[in-house]
Amino acid sequence: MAGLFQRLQDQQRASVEIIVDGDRIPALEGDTLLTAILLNRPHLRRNEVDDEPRSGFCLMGACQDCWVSGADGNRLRACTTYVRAGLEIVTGIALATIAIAPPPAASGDVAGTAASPELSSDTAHTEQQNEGDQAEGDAAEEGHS
Amino acid sequence: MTPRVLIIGAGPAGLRAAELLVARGVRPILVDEAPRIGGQIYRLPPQVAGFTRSGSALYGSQATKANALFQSFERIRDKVDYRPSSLVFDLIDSSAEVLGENGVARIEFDALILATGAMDRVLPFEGWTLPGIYSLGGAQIALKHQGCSIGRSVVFAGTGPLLFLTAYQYAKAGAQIAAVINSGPRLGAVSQLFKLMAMPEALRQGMHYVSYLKHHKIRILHGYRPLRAHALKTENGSEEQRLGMLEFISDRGDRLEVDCDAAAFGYGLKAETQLADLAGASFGFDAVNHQWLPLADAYGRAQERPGLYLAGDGAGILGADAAELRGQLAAAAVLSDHGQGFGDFDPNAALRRLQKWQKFRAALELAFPFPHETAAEIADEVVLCRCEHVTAGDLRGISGVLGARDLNRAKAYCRLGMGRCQGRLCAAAAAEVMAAELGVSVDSVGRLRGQPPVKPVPVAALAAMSTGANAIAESSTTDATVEA
Repeated sequence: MAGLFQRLQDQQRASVEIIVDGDRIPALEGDTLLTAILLNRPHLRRNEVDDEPRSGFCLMGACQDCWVSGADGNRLRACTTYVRAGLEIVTGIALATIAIAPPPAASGDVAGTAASPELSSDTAHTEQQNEGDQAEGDAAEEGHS
Repeated sequence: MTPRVLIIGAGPAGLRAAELLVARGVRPILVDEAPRIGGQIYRLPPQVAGFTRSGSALYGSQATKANALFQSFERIRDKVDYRPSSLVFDLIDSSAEVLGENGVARIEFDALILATGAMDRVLPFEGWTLPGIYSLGGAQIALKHQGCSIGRSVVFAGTGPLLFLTAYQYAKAGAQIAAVINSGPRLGAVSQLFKLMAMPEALRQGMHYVSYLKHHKIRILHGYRPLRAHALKTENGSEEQRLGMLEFISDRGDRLEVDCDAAAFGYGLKAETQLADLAGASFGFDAVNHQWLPLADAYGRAQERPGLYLAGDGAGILGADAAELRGQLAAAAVLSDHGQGFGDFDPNAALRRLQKWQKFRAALELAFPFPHETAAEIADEVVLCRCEHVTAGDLRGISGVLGARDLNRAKAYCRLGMGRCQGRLCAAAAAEVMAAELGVSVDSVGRLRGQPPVKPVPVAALAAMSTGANAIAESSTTDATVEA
């Protein structure tokens, strides 16, 4: 699929390669993640709530519609994060898969979960801003008690 | 005693405020979210070899002003505690919580100058979340900051000076422009146009952009606003989830279709006021800006909130030149309130100049009107809140229900404005939609209260702060957009 952005100026820069959803993508030093991805693809990520493709909007860190995920799980705002060689990005499809997975505490007891240092249930809740997911999380908690 | 002054924002207002404070022996802390100075208006490319465009290539006729601003900061650079790439995400009493590259820090201050700037004001239309559609400011940043066009064939829509400026910059850079379509009236038809003579140089520049576009045979139309974005149809008849055509409508109901793979739109600018809210400013509805703004005196002193000062477009849109004056005035007020003089700075000359910008701004609103009344016509299925996928119909459905007659109650019922952007993008349009549905004036549905963190912050950073560990764990995976 053809990319969205087009380079017009300042193209004599050092090459950098990043990895997006497992694909190697060519970029130039000084590109934001958003620029690098959209030069090669027609969209940037999927929205967490409606799962529709998005390509960012304001490009100035205000609208928050360009968050992607590093392979290490760190969230990255694509319009204000710059490429570096070998950086691995997941654009949201994998994130959606994580969001519908049951909380890791499902088989454990509630007290054990609360004492867990990994913040697992809190993390899952903050991730899951989608109403459906929230309901699922609540149902799982009721199951425990 | 020398006050501890915190300036938030390193655009024209913040930089000029810092300069005046330094001249009087104050060492301000200047915090900015971006890695380099300039704000959005004078945004610089990344500091990387190969970005070689000159100031005039980047800023056109504004290059002299941009360079003067950059040079003034160079001269005071070592007298300012400048903290780039740092986000102020909360303000509590006389301290700011700041997320920088090395974790969270708390900054105590005696005086706070907010120079938080502005962003595009938008009215949603059907399909505006399709890939390829950006704000005008976003399209401009793609070019200024990255040397890129947002697409192969770009349509510019909406209204305001930024519409013609951005189209002009794209044309100069060699981008292909499908059309420039102004939602407002043809400029010659604006009866109050003479009022723009309050700032003849700015008017002349605006005229130059339009004539450049005309000279290069770029299609310019007036009186049409975006109605619906259509996905790209492929040759076998299926749809790709990206922009293929933008459909427009005139006030008389005439339709217009423009093929394009990218679009940039906006209806002027809106002040960024979330930090002013957290700082405790009082707000009033401003008729010219059509927005709730922090209340302040001519110097930028916040009403009923000693120690808070507002400067630049974050205190109401007046543009970059006015922002430089407002930065100086706010700094002068800080100095004066701490019993210090302000040298050879002449506040009265700055105030007189500012009055001219205010006249010009009022005239711009007539030349490029915000079509807020069309919010009532936004179809029910149109997404208002792009973070949480809340539609105009969702908002109308709960308007008036169980006492929901204001935006904050509506937020609790339908999650509008509860997403990561904290309503920054949707609130202006949502207020219009809700007011129209209830048949009341837009100010009576109120405004969304600012909530910390104003932008997403990793939970691990907050946890590290509360335990006194001043660092962000490498493993942080979650950001909190705390709502309750």
